[in-house]
Parts: sequence; C-alpha cells; structure tokens
Amino acid sequence: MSAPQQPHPGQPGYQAPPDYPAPQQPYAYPPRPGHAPPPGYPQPGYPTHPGYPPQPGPHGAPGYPGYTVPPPGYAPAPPAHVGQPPADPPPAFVLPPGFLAAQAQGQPAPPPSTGPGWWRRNWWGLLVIVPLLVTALGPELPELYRKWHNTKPNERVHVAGGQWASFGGGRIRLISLKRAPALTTYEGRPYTPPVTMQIWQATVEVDVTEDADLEGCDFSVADARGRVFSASPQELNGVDVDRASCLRPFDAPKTGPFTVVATFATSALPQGLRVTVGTELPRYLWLTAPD
Amino acid sequence: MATFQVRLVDSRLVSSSIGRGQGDDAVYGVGPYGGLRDLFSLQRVIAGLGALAVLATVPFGGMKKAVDVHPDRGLERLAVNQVYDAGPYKITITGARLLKDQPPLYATNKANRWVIILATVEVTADESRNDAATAIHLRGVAGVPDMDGMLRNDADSVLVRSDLTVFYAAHPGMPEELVIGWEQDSKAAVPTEVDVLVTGRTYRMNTFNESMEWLDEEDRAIVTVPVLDRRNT
Amino acid sequence: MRGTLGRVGSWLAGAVALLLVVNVGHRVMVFNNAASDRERPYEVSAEVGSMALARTFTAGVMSVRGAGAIIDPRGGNPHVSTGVWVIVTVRAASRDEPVAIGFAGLRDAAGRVYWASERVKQDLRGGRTLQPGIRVEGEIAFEVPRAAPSGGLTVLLAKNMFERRMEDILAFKLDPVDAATVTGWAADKKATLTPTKVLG
Repeated sequence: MSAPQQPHPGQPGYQAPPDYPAPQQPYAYPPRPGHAPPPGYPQPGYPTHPGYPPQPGPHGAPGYPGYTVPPPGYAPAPPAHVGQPPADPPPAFVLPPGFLAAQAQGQPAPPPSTGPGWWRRNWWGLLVIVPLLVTALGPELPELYRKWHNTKPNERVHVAGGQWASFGGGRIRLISLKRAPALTTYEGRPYTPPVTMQIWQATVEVDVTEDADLEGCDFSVADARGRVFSASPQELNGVDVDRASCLRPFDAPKTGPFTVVATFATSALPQGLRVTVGTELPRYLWLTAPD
Repeated sequence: MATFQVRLVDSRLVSSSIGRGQGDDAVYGVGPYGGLRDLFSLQRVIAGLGALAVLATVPFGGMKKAVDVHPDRGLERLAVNQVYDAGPYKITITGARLLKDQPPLYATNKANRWVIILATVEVTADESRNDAATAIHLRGVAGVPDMDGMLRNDADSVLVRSDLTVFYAAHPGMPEELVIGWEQDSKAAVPTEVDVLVTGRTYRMNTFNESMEWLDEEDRAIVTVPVLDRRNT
Repeated sequence: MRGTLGRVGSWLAGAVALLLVVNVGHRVMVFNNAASDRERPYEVSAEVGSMALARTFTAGVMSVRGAGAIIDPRGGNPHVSTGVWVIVTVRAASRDEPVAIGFAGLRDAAGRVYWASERVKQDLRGGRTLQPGIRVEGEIAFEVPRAAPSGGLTVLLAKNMFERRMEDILAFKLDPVDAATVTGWAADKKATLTPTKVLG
C-alpha cells in the first residue's frame, strides 16, 4: 500500500482498492461502511455512506439483542442475519455413513462429513451402555435363574445299589422297590386295584437326627420316561397303607436307622425312588434298588 | 442515555447479588436490557410462579390446617333393602340380628354374642368373585372393633343363608343371601341398631400388570340397620 | 428477557408434551386392554366326549346333567340353587408329574364365567392330585342362572385357580339345552355327586 495515511476500513474516507474483491467471508455482516456490498446483498435503504456510527462496545455486534435500538434519527437497521449466514455448526446427530445406503442409490452423494464421525463423537455414551445394562439387569439374573432352576428338582444325585446316601443332614438308602403285596381297605376287605394301575412299594431306611432337613422329605418314583408319581396318592384313599415320611416314628429307637414303606400308584414300571427335600433343591436323590 | 447508564449499573448490582461472576457477563451480556433479563431469570420465574400458586390458595383458606371432615362425608346413605351397585357386585343390606353362639357359628369365646348382618350379593362383573362379603363392614359397634390390627375387621363368619355352608364365591347374575357375622364381646352393650359400610370398587387398568381389574376399594355407602335380638329364639 | 421467557416457555412446552405423550400412551393401552389380550390363556377347544391335552394334564368332559338341589349323602342341608346346578362328568389324568386341576368354570354365551361351586364337596377340582397316566373320572358341579344353559355353556379347565395368564385352558362346548330340560333339572331336588374313581 502506497498511502500509509489512508483511513482504515470502517472509517470515513476509506476507499477500497479498485481490484478489491467483494468480500466473501462468512461473517460479512454488516458491510463495512465504504465497502461495496457483496453481490446479492443490496439492502434497500441500507446506509453505505460514511458516518456509520461506531458500534457501541464489544457487545454491540449487530444481531445481538442489545443492538436492536439504533440511535435516534438513524435509519432502521436491517433484520438480523441478512447476508451470508454463519457456517452451520456440526450436526448433533448424523447417521453413520452407509446407514442409509439402500436409500441413497440414485441420489446425489451426501456432502462429505467434516467433523469426527458419529461413532467417534458418541463412543463414551456407547461404552456407558454396557455397565448400565449390567447394573440394570445383572442383579435380577441370579433371582431369575433361581426361579426357573433352583426351585424344582432339576439336579439328580444318583446313588445306586441300595447304598447309603447323605442328604439334607441325614442318611437314607433304598432297600427295595417292589410290587405291593395284597392290600386291604381300612374296613379289612381285600383291595383290588383297577387293571390300569400298578401299586408299588419302596422300603427305605432312614437315619435322621431331630430337626435335620431330611425330616421333611418327599418320596416319589419315576418311570423310564421320567414321569413322576407321588407317594400315598388319592387313588389309594381308603386303602390301608402307611403315609411315608422321614420323621422318626414315635415307636422307633431314638437313634440309628428306621424303616419306612412308601406306596405308589403308577401307570408304568418305576425305575427308582426320588427323594426331595425343599432346602436341598435343585438337588434331589435318585435311589435305585440293589439288583 | 443517562437512564441507560443507570440501568447498566443497576443490572451489574443485581447480577452480582445473585452470584454471577464477572466472567459471566461475557456470556449473558450486560446490554441496555440486561437488567430486565436478569430480573426474569429462570429461577425467579419458577419461584414467582410458586409464590403465585401459594397466594392463589388464600381464598380457600391458605395454609390453615384442614378441618376434620365428617366421617359420613362422601358416603351415600342407603335404606335397608335398597339395592346398591358397589362396582363388581350389587349389595343389599336386608337386616341385622343378634344371636347367641350356636353352630354353624363358632365363637372363639362361647359367651360372646354374634352381630349378624343379612345381605344379598349379586356379581355384576363377568366372573364369579370371592370378595363380596368383605365389602361389608360394621362401624362403631361396641364390642366389635372396627380394625383387626392393621386391617379392617372383616366378618368372622360368612354363611350362605339357604344351606348355612361357608360362603366362598358369588356368581354373575345369581343373587345370594348371606349371613355375615361378627363376634361381639358379651360385656358390651346390646346394640339396637348398627351402621354398616359398603365398599365399592372401580374397574380400571392395574398399572403394574396393565390388566383391567376391579380396584380402589373404598367405602361408598352407609346403611343404619335396626338389630333384632334373637338370642332366645 | 425474551431469552429467559423463551427458555421457561420451551421448558413448559416440553413438560406439557411429556404429559401429553404419557396420557395418550396410557389411553392407548387402556383402549387396547393390552395385557388382558397379550396374556390371555391359550384356549384348547375339544368336543364333549373326547380328551384334550393341556400342558400338564389331559382331560375330557363326558356328559352333563342338572339339578335343582344337591344333597350330601353324609347329611347336612340340601344345597338348593337359586338358579340351577349343572353337573359335568370329567375324565382326567396328569401328563408328567402329579398335578391338580385348580380351575373349573362354566362360561355362558355372554362370556360370563361361573366358578365351580364350593358349597358342595367335590374333590376332582382343586383337591385331587392326578398321577401321570392314571385316568380318574368324577363330577364337577356349577351353579348358573336358569337362563344360562339355553345359550350353550362351555366347560373350562385349567391348572391354576387364579393365575390363568398365558397358560393352557381346556374348553368343551356343551350343546344348548332347551328351557323345558332346565325346568326338569331344577325339579330334581335330590341329586348326589358321584365320587371320583379310577377308571378300570
């Protein structure tokens, strides 16, 4: 520049060099006094003459609310954000590239992304999902598992050949599992079961101390298909059979094993005796008789 | 311009008084209208709305302690033999009796009397229900507590009147006459009339399992029933 | 000023929008009665006289009769119905393990369900544990209004008395019964229930 005393742009008397291009800066607002407005910018009535007042301090940028009242006698200011708008900030949410590939066929290619990708910008949020899921669902899982697995006899503990089995704080063994001998009703008449029904009796030795969990045992037998038949069924109502239990009978010795007989009505050949104790679930004993 | 200056200073005082730092001015700005902007900060608007809400209660008594409402408030007063639609069932209180202990009533204390409410229940819902008898309670009868611990004192014995079997369920469209009995302390005064409360329910969605159910048990009606003393017959 | 009021306004608008969404969603759920539909029982229909399979048991309705009153041979008052007793003969067995039929109901043409009566002793519903493959036969008694049998009744059997959601329920449609037959049923004041027995 050959004229050092030329006024600054924005000051009265400033002349743009002849080859000065129309400014294309993103924030070309407002046109500085003395500048030719950029193409497409002509604002009817907008003052371009010298004497445009200095802006009122650092916060007085046009577009700021505090600027909306011009000094008295001044021409009305243009509405905010005429001229070129500021460049868009990076969008808050953009689908990852290729997400809509199927739809994009035949469409013009989307403008190339400028900032970091969606996955990059949200990696921490995605990472947080993992511990959130674990803390939300995790505590429930053991309970759910317990509900469907641990409250039913699902884990068989097989003790074969009439061996003693330790279970629920006591001992128990199967002496025999046989067809029942002739039974009578409580009135003393002989009882003949229907031909569709077989009656089986399991003779069991139990050794249990008082208050052991085994005292609350339940007996059942299962056939080859795994079908379960409970002891002392209502099919045998009126028939003189014992109600089997692991409680020490009042007339049994105070210590040592005692014998109980459990009676079953089945529709098939039982393969062994099941002993379930509530506190031992899901484990249950599967006792098979000596050969 | 002078007024602008005053406001400018004023707004700075206000903003510092609510704890804004100097640096915040760059964010919030202190223009000619900064004072008004600060006056209408979010916290103040919310606090102001709250204060307005409190003020609005003044015509209705303001913060004065609520008066105890009459116990019959909101209860429909019924006559004996008046059919009342209590929601899933219709209930008719038909009478009251005083009986000595006798089978099939079994008092815990042989000397106790029985205050008996005779009622007809008919399910109007689309499935049998087993809660119709527990929709009937006595109120304020000497020797019959209103509450049984934390729960309401449901009847001690509910029988079907026709065969004196223990009542379990009433069925849709089938009126059933019931004998609903409470043990009364033998030392209490002999009642000549008793107040009977009838509980109703509302058919709405259970928000826990999203199924439609009869919920919201509440006393809806009251019947004063004369008691016939039949202890010696 | 405009900024703050604008923020309060958008905050209020957001709150109102949230309430609206919750309210509309609630209304849609109520309108669709979602849970009752989604969790309804799986109804297994079968003819009278044939057996049907539920998940845990198998059962069939063999015959129907009616009465005005049921008497217990052991004594007690006759159980007179204000409507009419409908007594169905049911055959049942469990499939894999001991199980009871916890629920027995009659559904009328209008969809109303009548539970099996508790006024008379009947052990097949509720009290009877069925064993796998052992067929038993017994009677279940219901009380219904006199007009109900003429529209056709359906016998419902399920494992649980109350928790019947998403569980098999067996349904046996009975033929409609004319009014004269119902009057004949109601005239019988001395009916007794046949005890449950194992089929030979």
